Amino acid sequence: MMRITDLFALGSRNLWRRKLRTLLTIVGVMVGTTAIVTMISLGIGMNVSLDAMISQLGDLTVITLNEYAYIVDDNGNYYDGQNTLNDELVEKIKALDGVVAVMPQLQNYRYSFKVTANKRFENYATIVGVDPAVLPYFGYELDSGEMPEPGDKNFVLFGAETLYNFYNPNKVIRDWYKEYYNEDGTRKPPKVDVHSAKLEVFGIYWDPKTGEQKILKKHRLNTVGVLKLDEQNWETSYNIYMHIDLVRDMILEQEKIAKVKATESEAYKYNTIKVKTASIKDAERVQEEIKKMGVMTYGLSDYRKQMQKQQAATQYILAGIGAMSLFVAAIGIANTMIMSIYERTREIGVMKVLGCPLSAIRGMFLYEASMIGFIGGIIGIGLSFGVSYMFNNVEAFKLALGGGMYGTQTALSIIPPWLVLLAIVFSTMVGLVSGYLPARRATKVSALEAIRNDA
Amino acid sequence: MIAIFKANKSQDSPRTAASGAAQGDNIITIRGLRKVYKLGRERVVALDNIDLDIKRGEICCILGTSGSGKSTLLNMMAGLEPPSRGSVVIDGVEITKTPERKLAKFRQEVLGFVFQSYNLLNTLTALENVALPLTFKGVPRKKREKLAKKMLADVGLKKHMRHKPSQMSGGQQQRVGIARAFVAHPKVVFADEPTGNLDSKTTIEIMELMTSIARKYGLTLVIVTHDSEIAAYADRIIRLLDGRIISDELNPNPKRVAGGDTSAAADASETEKENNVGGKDFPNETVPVTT
Repeated sequence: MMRITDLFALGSRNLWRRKLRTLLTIVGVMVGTTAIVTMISLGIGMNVSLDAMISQLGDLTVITLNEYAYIVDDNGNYYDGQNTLNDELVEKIKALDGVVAVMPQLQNYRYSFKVTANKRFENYATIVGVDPAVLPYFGYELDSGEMPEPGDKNFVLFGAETLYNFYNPNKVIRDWYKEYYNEDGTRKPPKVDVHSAKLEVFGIYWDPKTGEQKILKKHRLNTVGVLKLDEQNWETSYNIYMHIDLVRDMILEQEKIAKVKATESEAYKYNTIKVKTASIKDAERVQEEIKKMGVMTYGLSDYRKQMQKQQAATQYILAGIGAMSLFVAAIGIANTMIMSIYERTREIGVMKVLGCPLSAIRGMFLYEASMIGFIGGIIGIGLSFGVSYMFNNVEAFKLALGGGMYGTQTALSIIPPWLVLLAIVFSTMVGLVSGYLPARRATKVSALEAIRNDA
Repeated sequence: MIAIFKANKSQDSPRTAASGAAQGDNIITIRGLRKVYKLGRERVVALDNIDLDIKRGEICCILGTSGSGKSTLLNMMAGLEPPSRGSVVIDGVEITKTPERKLAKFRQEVLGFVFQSYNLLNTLTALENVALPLTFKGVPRKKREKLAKKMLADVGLKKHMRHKPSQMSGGQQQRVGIARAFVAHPKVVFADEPTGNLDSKTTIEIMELMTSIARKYGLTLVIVTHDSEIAAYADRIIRLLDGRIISDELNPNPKRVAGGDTSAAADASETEKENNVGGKDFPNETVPVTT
């Protein structure tokens, strides 16, 4: 059997013999590779930009289950639905693969709760009961104060905006604007410094018959934190978070007075369940599994999927343009190899007569073709980086291509390492495939041609 | 090694070699070989029931005008073309029934070729051309270049090893061709009009070189030609006409180089030493004793 190194040496010499033709064919592959890599890099850029935009909206790995679901189906239609969110479901979701943490949120609109500061200032912002142990998984960031320890039942986390909700009910306010804003239009600081104030929370029971209100048990709030303002996320800005058990106690207290039957209790019905997963992929899978449980979900990944679907069409067109030029390059390779066979008919015949195995002849041609693809691929990748740089840095291109899709600062064209590798492997494969028929044809060259004497 | 030559010469019989030789001594056995070409509606019989035996170590000349079927016969002996009927057995292998895939290995092991138009690979140097059959065999580069160098020295081209075919004369190219044919120690070398493109002086040199190497190593050499001058170098002359053997006779006094066989090369003085070294590479098994 002929040695592979000898085979490659012979093939390389054949390529070198027809330098210009080899070079032109390589240029063809180079252009094709550049086209397809650049187009794919634009597609990747679009996806990255989309993800950047969506991650500004929230965490892609978080799935949200709402009691009153607001669902988008696969066709993009919205419809309403109702979910039953209870501990049974929480346990079921916790058991799913890829779930990192589950955060049920207890919040009730039927009963009134009030937060007071120094007994003078009141705040009626929505109170949400959460388990402090899982808070860190859901990206709650502190602006000031401290995060609660897992066992801390008397903590409070103020959404940034809720600080401004403190007001003094006994003070007569003539001009609301002046109460909250300076003359130059800037906002005045909150009335209360929550870190130093004495904070309490309690329920207010409204008797439906008499209309009287009754102050229920007061709870001191000792651990105080203020969440960072996130304009994209109204939840963490406009809610006040407390321990889920505390909120539950306060609901039960109200229900006891109102004589609500245990089966109709709302203390164990969650308003929202948030599910943190390990990755976006997990999020998509877990979401499917939760849907199978008959629960409607909402995740940013839904939105992402939909946007990606819309992008896909554009990306296919881009990739198609690239593929077409690579296809032309493939024809170029095949053409070069067939020309080469015509030229080398005698030589191939002689080699056969001298005992060159058919596999070696085939191998030599395949090697030559794939080398053209390989070299063209490598140069093409180099060129792609140049084109990509141009797209990302020349203002004219940025404008023409709708620079910074979705208004994010991500690059327009991105060439990740896997694309480099894929492009080189692919261009080599294109060479190999284009060389296949010519190589087969070469093995069929008649040895008789070689020894025919009319040269 | 000269013994072979003497042995053949002593077998001075008027019988045809084909019918006389014992089966075991024959390296090539052809039986009932027939080739019919269809040209449109017409059928042209190129070979008509050829029976032929060629002995080991024999230098055999197949002589015929163009159209006599001599090239067709060679093609079939070399396994380049399938016959319409009949069989060719070389060194125990029925090549007429061997698929092309397997023929490559057979050619590597058993056959050598010398062409009229040399058929050297233009991209390769003389040395690489000579080493080519060894390359196909998978012989490592160092070893095959060593063997090829010896062979090139044998044909008197020690100084032209690094030359490309385009830098050499016809005669030199054919010497490279001969070195290439013999380098892998084949059992049979086929030469198709080996001097067809050469002038008469070079023809003599090439014929002397080829036959002397064949005799030296006891190889079977089959020369196909239309030139009866060349036939004078052979031990046996087979004449073909219209696809039939019309005569098959032993040459009682083949032409040979004056003063022995080994120093036949043109620049012999320079290559003599190399020749002797090269001789050791040919195992004795290729030398048959026919008496």
